Amino acid sequence: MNCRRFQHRLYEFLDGTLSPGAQAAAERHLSDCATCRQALQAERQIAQSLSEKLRRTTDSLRLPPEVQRQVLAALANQRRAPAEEQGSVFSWSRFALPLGLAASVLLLVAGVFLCARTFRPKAGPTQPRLAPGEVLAQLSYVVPIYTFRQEGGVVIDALTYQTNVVNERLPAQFAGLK
Amino acid sequence: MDEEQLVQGLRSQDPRAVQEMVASYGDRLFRSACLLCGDQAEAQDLVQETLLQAVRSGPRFRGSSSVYTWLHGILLNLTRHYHRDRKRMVYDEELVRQETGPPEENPSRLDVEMTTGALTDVLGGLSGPHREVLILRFYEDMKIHEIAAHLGISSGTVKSRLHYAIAEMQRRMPGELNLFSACGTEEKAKR
Repeated sequence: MNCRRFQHRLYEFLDGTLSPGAQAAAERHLSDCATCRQALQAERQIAQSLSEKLRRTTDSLRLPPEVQRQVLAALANQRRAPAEEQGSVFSWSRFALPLGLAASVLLLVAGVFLCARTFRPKAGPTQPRLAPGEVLAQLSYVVPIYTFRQEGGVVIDALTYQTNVVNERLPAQFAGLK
Repeated sequence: MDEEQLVQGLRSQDPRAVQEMVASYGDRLFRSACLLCGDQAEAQDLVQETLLQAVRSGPRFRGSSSVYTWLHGILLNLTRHYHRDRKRMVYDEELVRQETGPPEENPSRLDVEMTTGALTDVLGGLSGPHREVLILRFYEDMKIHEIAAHLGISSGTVKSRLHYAIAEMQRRMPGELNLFSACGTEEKAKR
């Protein structure tokens, strides 16, 4: 190990975090090199002096007791809040499922009506064969997905919707067409 | 309450664990915050917000680091935001005077006042990243690789910042208040 390499690893040497091989090489170098011994000594002195002075500057400082009071008060509020929130979410959730189903049915009917009015079957290999009096309807419907998850002591529910689209053959009468 | 029980308590937001966390680490965090931001009132706010964030995110704390390291990481982030808001830090003179006490009660008052005053002034003149590594190294006694992990930077960057910060402190210290000479100021005061 040369001086440059030693001084590059000086902090790790001081920390004792060099590999055993590098540590031994550094110690061998130190025993032969007065300049690096001096650099090491200076670094130790800086560390000791600065640590001491930073501690002397701050030793008498104490965290004011009101901080602890405020943190504990905030915790108490936080523990109360989820319970209230949970109550309100659950009262709302009683309507979630019927509302979701009603929305699905409404969208289904609207989809059938619009598709049946605008869609005209064309001849072609990709079109399904339709019997006389049938129309091809694109149905889109929404499925409500109701999930629960637990975070700590709190149960959180979520209502999401998934839209599905399918093509169906329907009697023209059913779609309101003559 | 040992560290493991404390972590469990913080995860379940147990008020006794929160109380223990503040009692065990509050002062230490506050001192570190004073050095990082240079203002006691701001330091108090920063530590309070740190503890509140810790309480809120307690259930997500995995315990992969010590509780103090985790808290200090939150404090560092908050301090950076604080520095972003205040481009240049003004060091609180109270922090400088805190140590000195009344003249008759403190025989080495002159020495302390001179060195701590110069120290806090010079710390206040360093950039945030340089001040951070200096405080983590010499106040928090962290090893180079620990500082690197704590700040999310490489060990090389830590060493380079540390080297610059020390050089800058030595450059800015007036000759007669040489911070790094063990008894320079005492000798001067005796003369």
